[in-house]
Amino acid sequence: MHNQPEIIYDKQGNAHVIVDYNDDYIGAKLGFWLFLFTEMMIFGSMFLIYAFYMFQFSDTFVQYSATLNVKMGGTNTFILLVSALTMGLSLVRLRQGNVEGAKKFIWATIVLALIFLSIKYFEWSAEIHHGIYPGSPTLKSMGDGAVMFFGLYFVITGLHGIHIILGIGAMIWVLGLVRKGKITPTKFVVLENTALYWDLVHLVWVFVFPLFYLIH
Amino acid sequence: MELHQNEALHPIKASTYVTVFALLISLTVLTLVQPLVLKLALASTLSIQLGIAFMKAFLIVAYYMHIKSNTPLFRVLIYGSLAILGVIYIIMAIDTYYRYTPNDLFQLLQKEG
Repeated sequence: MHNQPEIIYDKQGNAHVIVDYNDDYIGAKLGFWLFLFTEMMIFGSMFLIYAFYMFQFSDTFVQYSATLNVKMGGTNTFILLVSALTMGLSLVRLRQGNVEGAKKFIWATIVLALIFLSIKYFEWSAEIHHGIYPGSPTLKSMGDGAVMFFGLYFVITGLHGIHIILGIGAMIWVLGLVRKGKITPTKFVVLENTALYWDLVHLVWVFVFPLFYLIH
Repeated sequence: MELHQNEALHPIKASTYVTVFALLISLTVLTLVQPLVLKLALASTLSIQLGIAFMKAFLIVAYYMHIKSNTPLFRVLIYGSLAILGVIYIIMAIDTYYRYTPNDLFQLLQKEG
């Protein structure tokens, strides 16, 4: 059965040999959505663990939610919100045929993502400076509820941070493909998928922010 | 019938992105203002905060991720997998309610046995 040509039929029932899928736009997007579902399950199960322990230690979760830095978390929320817009606009520009405009918006997204990471760095540094990090003696002395709250905080925001870093990598790769002419106003599915990924990273933060910073 | 390469693709407009962005910003301001204006019990705070989060999530998935303009195949897949995640959450919620709480079924059974 090997090397047999794939056949497709038209409405009159005539057979045609398939020579090309025209870059298979639908296939590329479907494949990427399957990957996004696995991401949804990863973060979905993290939030499930969060929900379980919040039910067990609700008073402690409220108490320590108040100690998180809402100003930094809130600023990061706005930064991600703007970055999702710039990423979307880069796709709009590219499809309009404005390649340079698209590149500028991708750079803007990268800069915003780096600002997000820097703020996260300062936020984590302050907490680690106060002796709060997974497995620290201070945290252990604060009881099981605090261990769970800050444990989940570091794991979920950490995993989210890794996704931001991977997103920056993907955007730099996309810029390279644009430069090489592999992403064009008519062949844009790679940029579209990268934008979908960035929307998912934003989506996760939409739930992380209220659950950790605003339940007090 | 000759199919043009991008005929099946829905056009995307910058104005849609900007409108959705404005809505997302307003909802985010609401989430930040709520704890300052209304001091509520955990359950009420959670319902308000998660309610707003789900509204934002819907806007992002529907418009930024183009589900509104996608083919039925994508819509069924995406809403279907969200429904499966929902089922997992409901099962987990039942388990959470009956474990290590005054409603713990296993402890109640042990006491009776």
